[in-house]
Amino acid sequence: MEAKYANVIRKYGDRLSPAQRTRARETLVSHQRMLMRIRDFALENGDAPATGLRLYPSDAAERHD
Amino acid sequence: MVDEQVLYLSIRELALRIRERKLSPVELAKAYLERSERIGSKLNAYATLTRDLAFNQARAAEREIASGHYRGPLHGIPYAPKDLVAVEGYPTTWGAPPFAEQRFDYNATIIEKLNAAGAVMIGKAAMIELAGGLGYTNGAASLTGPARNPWQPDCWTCGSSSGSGAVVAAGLAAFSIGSDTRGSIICPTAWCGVSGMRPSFGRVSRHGAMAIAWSMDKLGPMARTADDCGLILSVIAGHDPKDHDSLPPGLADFPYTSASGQAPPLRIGKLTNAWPPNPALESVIDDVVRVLEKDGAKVADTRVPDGPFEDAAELTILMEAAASFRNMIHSGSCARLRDPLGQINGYVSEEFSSSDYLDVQRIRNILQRRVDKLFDDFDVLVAAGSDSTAQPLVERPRPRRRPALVPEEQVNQKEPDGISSLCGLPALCVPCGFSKENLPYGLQFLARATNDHAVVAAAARYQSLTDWHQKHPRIS
Repeated sequence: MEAKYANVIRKYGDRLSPAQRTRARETLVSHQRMLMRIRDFALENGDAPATGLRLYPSDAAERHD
Repeated sequence: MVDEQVLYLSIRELALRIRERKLSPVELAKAYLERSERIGSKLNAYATLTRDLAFNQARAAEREIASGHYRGPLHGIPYAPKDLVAVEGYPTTWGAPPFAEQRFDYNATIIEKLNAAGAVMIGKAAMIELAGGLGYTNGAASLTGPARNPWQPDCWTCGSSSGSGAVVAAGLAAFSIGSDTRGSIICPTAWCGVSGMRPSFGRVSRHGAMAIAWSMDKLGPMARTADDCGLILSVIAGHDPKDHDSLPPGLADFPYTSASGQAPPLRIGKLTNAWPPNPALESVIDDVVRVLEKDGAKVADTRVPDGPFEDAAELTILMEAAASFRNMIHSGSCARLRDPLGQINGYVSEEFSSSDYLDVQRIRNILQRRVDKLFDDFDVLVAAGSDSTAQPLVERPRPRRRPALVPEEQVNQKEPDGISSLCGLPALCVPCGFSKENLPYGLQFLARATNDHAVVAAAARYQSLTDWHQKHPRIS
């Protein structure tokens, strides 16, 4: 948590007022709480993410760059 | 002269009059525009009125229908899309000061589809800045100010489709288009006492719409009835190769002519642990159940399965939004947002790691399977559309996107919006009663992913048995 806060300040500290720094720290705490609950969830090696490569259609009519 | 009652007719009823040439699209557009100019500004309902475009489209509709070329039930029907969809040549502000002058030289796919159906754009509906994409803490977080609820102007409409809710509830257009990443159609629908639908993920193309979280964003209709939502969805649904997450051809289409004739859902699961205890709200939902059971439905209590649904939904949005708004974050233009949380949230969200994101998405797959199993026993689930009626603006109502620093014990992992948004399920919310303060309660139907017909049919069936959707606010 402290390392993340230090990184926020390193990157963006010159843009943040004291009040915004306080809010940033509080927001990091909130994010960290959510991440902790996520990390408490048991996952197995084969549990794939809900993301994945969708094959690009070979049909030229389907291509839209 | 179009009577005010006509402005509250459903699309189904308006379309019949237009088709039979008993109602002029030009006169209808004129009446909605006049009302929008007079009332819309008091409610902060619009970002932009598109008067010239409306009259051009209405005149074209009138000419075509007179010559026998009737395009379908949206032909000549006035509407207002949320101001995050691109409309060629008109401002598309995303509700945010940094984009106040933004214009696109193309139409979003949804606008192209509505143009092809002959719909008439009255204006672009106001919204919460960036649809809450970088977070917000109250209803004033909008370029156009807080949207006021037509039922009680001291109350908020909820967000982020705040103007879309106000437009329909106040009779400023026949329907609107909202967007929903995590509850941004359902909550304004409930608080404004209208009928609104979040389609299955991928059913409606988002090409040309502002992105918050690519894996969760949806566009959907807000209207007077569930049947109207079905009519609109039949027009705006369909595969679009320009949207990476568009459902495949065939599956994306939503053929629909009428909810009547379809069998009512016989198996309904009432979610008993979706919201914190609220006796008034539970009493309203119990009344709903009695109506449905009297109609022959089999209703049984059921529970949202365990799992960090809310955290997974929120984290997905935070992480994807940090990518989609990266330019704002890096340039510092997020400092120009109205909301103090939005000004700094992107900086903090950049501290998530790629493994954080992947872990959330791995859990998401498991949670999807858990929720899907519920539909082995039920055709649809029902729950309140929101955990309250509309809240006063002055009390800084809780936004749908959870702000930072919600105490841990108050995090409700079982909110229907988080669950259905995370899992891409269709949901349709309709009014189901009123509080003693005369504020509407909402009821939402949820169904298995891609089974959008089930929620339309169930909600339309409920509306055929009740008249809550026919009540309108008194507006001076």
